[in-house]
Amino acid sequence: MTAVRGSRSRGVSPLTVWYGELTSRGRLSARGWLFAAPALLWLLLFLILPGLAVVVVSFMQRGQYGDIVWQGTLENYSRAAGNGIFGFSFDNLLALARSLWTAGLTTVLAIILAFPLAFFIASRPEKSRYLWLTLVILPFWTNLVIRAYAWMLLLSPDSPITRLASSLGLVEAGAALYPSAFAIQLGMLTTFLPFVVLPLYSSVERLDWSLVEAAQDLYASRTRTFFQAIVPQVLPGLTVSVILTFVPAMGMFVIPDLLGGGKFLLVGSLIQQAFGSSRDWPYGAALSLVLVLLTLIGLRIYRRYGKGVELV
Amino acid sequence: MTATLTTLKGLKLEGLQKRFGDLHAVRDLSLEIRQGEFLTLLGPSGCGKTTLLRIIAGFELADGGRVLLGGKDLTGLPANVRPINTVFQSYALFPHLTVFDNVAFGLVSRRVAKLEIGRKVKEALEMLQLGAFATRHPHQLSGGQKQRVALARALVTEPQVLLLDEPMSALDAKLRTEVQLELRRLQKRLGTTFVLVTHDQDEAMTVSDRICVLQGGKIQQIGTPEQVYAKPCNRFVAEFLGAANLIPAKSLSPRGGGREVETPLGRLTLEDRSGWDHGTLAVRAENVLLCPTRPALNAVKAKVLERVYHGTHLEVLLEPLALESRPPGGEGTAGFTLKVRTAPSGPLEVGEEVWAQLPPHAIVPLREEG
Repeated sequence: MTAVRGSRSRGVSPLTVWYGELTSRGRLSARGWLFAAPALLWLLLFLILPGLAVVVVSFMQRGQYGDIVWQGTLENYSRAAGNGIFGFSFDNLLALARSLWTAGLTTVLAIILAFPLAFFIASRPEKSRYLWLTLVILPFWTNLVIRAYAWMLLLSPDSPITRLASSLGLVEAGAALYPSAFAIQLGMLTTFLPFVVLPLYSSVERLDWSLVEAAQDLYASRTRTFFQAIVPQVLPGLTVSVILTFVPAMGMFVIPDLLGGGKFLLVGSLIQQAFGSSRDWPYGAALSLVLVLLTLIGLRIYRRYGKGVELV
Repeated sequence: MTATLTTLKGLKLEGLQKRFGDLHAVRDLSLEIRQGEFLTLLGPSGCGKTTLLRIIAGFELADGGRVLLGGKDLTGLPANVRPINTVFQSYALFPHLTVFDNVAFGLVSRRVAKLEIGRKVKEALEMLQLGAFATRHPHQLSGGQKQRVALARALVTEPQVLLLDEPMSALDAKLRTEVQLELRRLQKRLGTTFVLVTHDQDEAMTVSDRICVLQGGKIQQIGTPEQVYAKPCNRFVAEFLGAANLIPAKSLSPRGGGREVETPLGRLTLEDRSGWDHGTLAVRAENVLLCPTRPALNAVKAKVLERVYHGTHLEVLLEPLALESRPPGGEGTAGFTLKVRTAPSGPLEVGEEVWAQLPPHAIVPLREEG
């Protein structure tokens, strides 16, 4: 009897099964690695290694025929900052500023549009909610380029939208709404709206309405109720929305190229040109890294600022 | 004169109606709550008590009727302009704000001067022994502390009426009793009108000046805890508050009058049955007496079916035996049991035969339910 119990199972009945030997910490940890391995391998192959390659290439030189000459240089970064063959130019900084403005405006406008939409969907009966959510993601079923061409048609001189705009005196008669900064903005907004609506909706759906009632009960105005009882609750969803919109919008080149008619150069287009028509991979890599770095810094500031912010 | 004044200053509900689809949550309900009164809306879940509270607070619009406070019609006003605050069942503290900011919320909404806010919040926190927690966030507090923050937040703006929606339901039983007494003391000290919603009859008895028993969106009875408990007006109230024996009965004399009634337990004598002819009688379990010998009046011979020891008292379930006074053809005693609550003394065994007495003063004739 005493032999069965052993020293470890103090007073535990012999019927109690002891699993200690099977699931030791080491084994659990080993099993954890096993399950995580496919994902880790994926990350290593398709994120970390290519990322490192971009870093390495960004410090190399471009050969005469667009090949990579394996000699270290900082020239690509100097060029990215605006120091070209013909001296310093503001072109790259302007493209960056335009990108920041376009991406920022897209994010803000999308959030403003998404709030009523998310609340509308969340307030539908459960069954029809899925229908509305499907409608929100329906545009994804069509390729981005095709959607851009659709906008070109819709904004062309003869389209009803353009005629309406010209009859309202917003544009000259016979003129097209595309290509223009407006067309880019419209294209970006429609592209990214679902990315804002979906995370926001998931927050709104779980909203604790008793906090809204508490704010109203404590004499808060509509504005104060919104910023104190609703915004703090949807902030996690809103953060996801901002990241999912702002970050890809910064590197977007399809919409600006197609709907801007190549007249409005954004950072994304610069990178695309470097890798594409210019066949200058080291310069493209440097531009990409600068963009990644700026985005990371921006997100860091957002996190820092977003945490301590006293809303209204 | 004083009576009219306090009535005028109090809360008055007139003919309130509320429907949710097929559910008639509040039916033509009128109620006057005096200023400085602690009134409890008591009833089972779904009786309309929470809906009534939400109509008073302004979260729900009544389909009909009026809400008057101090003679002023509040019916169409939104919650954020009513001088009425609520302590929510979930407390609904703002998770992103500290205890201090939570309590200050109402004052900030009203644009009270900063210095004044600081002073008032500090006072409120001290009053509820929360001084040490001012900089904490709600998730760092225990249930009892959260509840006190919710109270402080609702009281700091000095509302005319404080509504409490089952505020004790998240607290454990021991803390609950303590908090109930504390709440009553606080209410007496401040003199604010408190309206509490609960389904817990003990809680209602402990804290209230008056209890309003609700069922099916209607007031069943309203009165002091003593009145409601000792003289329940109908079957629902008698069963909902405490343990009661309900005995069907009818008058013996066809012309009415007389104090004798016929029941399955035999002939019983009532103290007073004015205006009552037939229906149900209620006898509280603790009012049934167990006697060693046959009592002179309203005696019932019975067998002990069950005996449960509760420490403070003994709960006995009796099965009445056929009585010689029962007329032939009367209703049988089959399946009828008598609940008795008595002092835990004396040997009382299951199967033993005892005499029980239903004292005339303890028999309450009930009205048909409204």
